[in-house]
Amino acid sequence: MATGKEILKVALLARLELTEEERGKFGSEFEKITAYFAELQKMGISGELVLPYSCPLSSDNPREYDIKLEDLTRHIKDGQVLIPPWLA
Amino acid sequence: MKELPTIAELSFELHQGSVRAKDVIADIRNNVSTHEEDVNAYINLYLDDADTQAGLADDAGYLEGKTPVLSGIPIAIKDNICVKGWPCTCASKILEGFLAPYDATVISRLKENGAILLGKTNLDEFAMGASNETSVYGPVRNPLDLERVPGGSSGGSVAAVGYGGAVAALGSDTGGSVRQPASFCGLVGFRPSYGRVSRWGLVAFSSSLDQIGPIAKTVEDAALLYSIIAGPDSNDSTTNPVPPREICLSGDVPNDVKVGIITECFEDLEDKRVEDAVLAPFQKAGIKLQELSLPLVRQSVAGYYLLVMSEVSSNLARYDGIRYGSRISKLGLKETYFSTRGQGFGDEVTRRILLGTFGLSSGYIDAYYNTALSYRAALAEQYEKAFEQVDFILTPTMPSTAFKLGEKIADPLQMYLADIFTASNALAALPCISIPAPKRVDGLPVGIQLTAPRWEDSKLLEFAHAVEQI
Repeated sequence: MATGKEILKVALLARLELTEEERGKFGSEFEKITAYFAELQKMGISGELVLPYSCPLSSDNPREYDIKLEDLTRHIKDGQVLIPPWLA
Repeated sequence: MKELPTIAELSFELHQGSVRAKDVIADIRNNVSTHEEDVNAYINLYLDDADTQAGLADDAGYLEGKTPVLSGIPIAIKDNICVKGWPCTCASKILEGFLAPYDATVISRLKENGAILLGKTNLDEFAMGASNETSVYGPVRNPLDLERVPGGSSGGSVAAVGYGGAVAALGSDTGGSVRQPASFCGLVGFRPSYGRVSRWGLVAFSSSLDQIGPIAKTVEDAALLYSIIAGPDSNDSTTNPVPPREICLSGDVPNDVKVGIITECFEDLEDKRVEDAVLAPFQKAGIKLQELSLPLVRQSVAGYYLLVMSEVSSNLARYDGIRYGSRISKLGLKETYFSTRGQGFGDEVTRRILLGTFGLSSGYIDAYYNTALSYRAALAEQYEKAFEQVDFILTPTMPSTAFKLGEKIADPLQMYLADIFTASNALAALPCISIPAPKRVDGLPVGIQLTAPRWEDSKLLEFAHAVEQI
């Protein structure tokens, strides 16, 4: 079983708040699922790392969007996105 | 329930003047009032707006060659595809209150062709699931048996068509999410080649796999919807710049057609009645089946989930409580991220983000993510070699018929294994379709899955249509 400390580390990287109960639950599932994934490693496949894109991805052709900031979020004031205060 | 016509039948009747679009909306309203409470197929339904649009289409009339091809046809949309001004929830608490600021490319194309959009359908949260039990809006039930799941993640789209709440629908398929529910509910679900249909406006789950696909009662309807939504799009650089060729549905099985069956898939089937149901139409038509061995298919669920979870971890990083949907404010930006994401995502999404973050983290990336990428390339090569021998590959869509609600949800690995026949062809970017077998097992539908070489979507639809007629 993945330790509580390991789950906590991954949750920290993923910016996820977990309750103690969730840490226990996901920890016990982790072991089973990663053991299943390990079957793939045992096959010793190596080689190309490719994705099935139709054409090379490029940033040469920037697009313009007709979308306003106001359409994306409710948390907005004077054209700026409001974020929580850093300090109390 | 008032049985709804297919798109082709309705279009014909509208042109004949024997039915009005408003009558069909009235039938849908009746079906919704009878079944929606039990089935829970829709998250948001706009029947009054649909009725107004139907009236406008009826008033304009239906003229061959002049009226847009989907004029007066009511379609449901999975709630991870953006429709301007409508909520787009992805069945998640974290997108509560979010309104889509633009139309997805597929939506613009449906609108340009006159379709009436009915509403947004329920799904597994962010399309992650195989049973439609992970939605924050409650599970969807199979209209054929309310104790059973409709499949997922496009369960709402399929269930809506199944009970007469829509004539057809759009879903999205990452590793089986269109084909699997279609199989469980006795409908047609088509996943186009990766790159055939624009993903612009489809909420990203696993970007190297996500494809939008049609759900319909017949292959003809699926082909019609596909021909409208497919094609290059400057907003999605992964779309093929070459448009798909026209589809010609003759209904004839080509004399020299070569169909292969993956022996590993049939060997692993626990219920041999599923095999019988899948093979029956081919035996009836005298189509010779060639056995193929694709050993890497057996590891496809592991390869698929490793890649998917890694992409989920990256794609869902954008839901931070700042830019989209709901926010659980705390003192401090980082604290707000943690509380919003911790409380906004359900268990399955959280599980995948955690596993994906783990698989991408320093020290593990080679063992997990990079191994899965290499596996994917090797699997695609096995498929490519197989298609040197055959035109199409046949497997069951699912190893079983629809299972009961609650049967697998407590064991995530068991749920993942439900994707055993639908993940490998998605990983190889191939077009694949599920059509209902004529024979059922214990009264429940079984799906026949056909896969074709990449970009041979039209050929696949033509053959699936012929098989459907057997």
